[in-house]
Amino acid sequence: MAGTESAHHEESDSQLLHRFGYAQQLLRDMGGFSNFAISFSVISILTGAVTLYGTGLNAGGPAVMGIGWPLVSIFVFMVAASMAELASAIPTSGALYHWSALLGGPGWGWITGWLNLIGLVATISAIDYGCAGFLSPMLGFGDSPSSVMKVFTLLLISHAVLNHVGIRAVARLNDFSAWYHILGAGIIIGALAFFAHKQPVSYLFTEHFTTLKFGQSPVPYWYAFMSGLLLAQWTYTGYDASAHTIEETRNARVKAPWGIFSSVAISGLFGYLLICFVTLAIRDLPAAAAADNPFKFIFEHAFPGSGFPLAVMWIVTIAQWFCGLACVTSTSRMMFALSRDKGMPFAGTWAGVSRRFRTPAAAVWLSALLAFLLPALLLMFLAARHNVSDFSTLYGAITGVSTIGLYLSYGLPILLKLRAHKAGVWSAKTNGPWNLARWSVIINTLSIIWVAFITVLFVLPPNHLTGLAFVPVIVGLSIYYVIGVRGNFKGPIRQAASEAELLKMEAELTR
Amino acid sequence: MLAKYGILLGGGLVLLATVVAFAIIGRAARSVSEFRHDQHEAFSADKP
Repeated sequence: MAGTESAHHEESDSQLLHRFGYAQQLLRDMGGFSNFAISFSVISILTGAVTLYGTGLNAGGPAVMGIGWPLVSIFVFMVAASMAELASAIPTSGALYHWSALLGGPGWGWITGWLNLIGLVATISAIDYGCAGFLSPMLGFGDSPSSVMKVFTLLLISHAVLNHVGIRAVARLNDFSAWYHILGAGIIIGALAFFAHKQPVSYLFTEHFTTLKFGQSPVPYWYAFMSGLLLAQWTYTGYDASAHTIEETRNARVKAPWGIFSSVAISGLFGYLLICFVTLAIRDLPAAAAADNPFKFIFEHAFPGSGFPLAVMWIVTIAQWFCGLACVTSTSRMMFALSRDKGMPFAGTWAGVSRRFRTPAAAVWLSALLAFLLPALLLMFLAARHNVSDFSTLYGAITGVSTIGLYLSYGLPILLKLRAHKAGVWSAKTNGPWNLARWSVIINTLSIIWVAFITVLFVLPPNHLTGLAFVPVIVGLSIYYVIGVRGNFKGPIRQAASEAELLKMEAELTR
Repeated sequence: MLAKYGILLGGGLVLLATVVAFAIIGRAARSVSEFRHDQHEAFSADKP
């Protein structure tokens, strides 16, 4: 019975893909859980909520956790639901890039693809640089920028090698990673709930604390609180991975949208429990905020003289490694899709597939190289200006680039869908099975407003380094678009003109 | 202000986030179910 149902979905999934002009080239054997698992692994509550914990705590204190997280969650649920609707209607692995190109034309598709790519590359940088920041001192190499960069390089190489040669192992590791994250968060939450001294629950909502300053002047608390929302907002990134793997998912129009939304909703629940219990375990707030690693500091003081804080650091570091691995997979797929349609310089190279391993090997290695260059260039920039080059300054800038790049790429196709709806091009018949019906317009609109708001918020001080990194990239992209892309880039290219030709391509692959 | 209204604000946002999440889940589940139902009807109607 299950086999019959599977065969039925496979048939309808492939037929639907043919309508978009693509052959079923990728192996469609991913179930609903695997699709959820890849997004849940990239969101990784044990990465974002942990590595940016100190940033949030210094910005607005416990209220950033207790009030900020649910505030961000409400809007992220809407963005995820809007993206899930689009994935259900246009189930191709180019995802955001394809959605924008189909709804707004090749130019919109190109800019969406590039913003997504910039966001994803910065996400790899942030995850692996954050992981290196934890791992380097644990291995005894210290936490100087040069030591962290060396460990960071080794982590990137490990992810690139695995994505190049072991895609089956990567898929299994992603499934395992989802369980690992739930179990890891469960152990940490359970230990804090049952064995740590705790503040009253009101501590999460009423404690007024910030260390942010404009020069020597104090920052208004509401502003400091807002800048601390980066903690939650960056954690909630990367769930487009479910859409990037949609051509490999069975019953894709239903399972992939659920993968997008459920990964966000479950991360929201576990992430909130995690940061709330960590915050309730704080004994000395100013000392915790001033620590090099506030998350580690809180555990060392909550469980003094035990091996548990070190165990927690290992749990978190391993989760970050899993997260980086999944993110390299997602980024390389996006790069491959954009290059396949000639949307990148030297596109032929990045669209190449390893004959031996059947992976987009060149795109994998380029993803890793670009992820290395972002923090390296920022470090050089800071060093040249004799500026602060500490971990948190650099980390805040990278996560800011990642958040803005990704959310702009999420917001553009939603905006274009709204435009299509207004023009009468998008109707109820255009919807896939997973849709929000009459709620769609209002939820899409609120999503756009939120994306616009955070884009401005996260380039303002103290995140101005994000703007310094992001603006030259946008200017460079604009120049490249005007000189080399406009008029030449045609958007998603149909692989064949007829269904018979697509079926022939598929038959050749199965020989 | 946070000391006075923080609990109300935080509690309200947690409640609102929960309501939004479940409302979206419910709406999407209904749409998927209606879609299947419609498809089934269309399939039956096509039968000779």
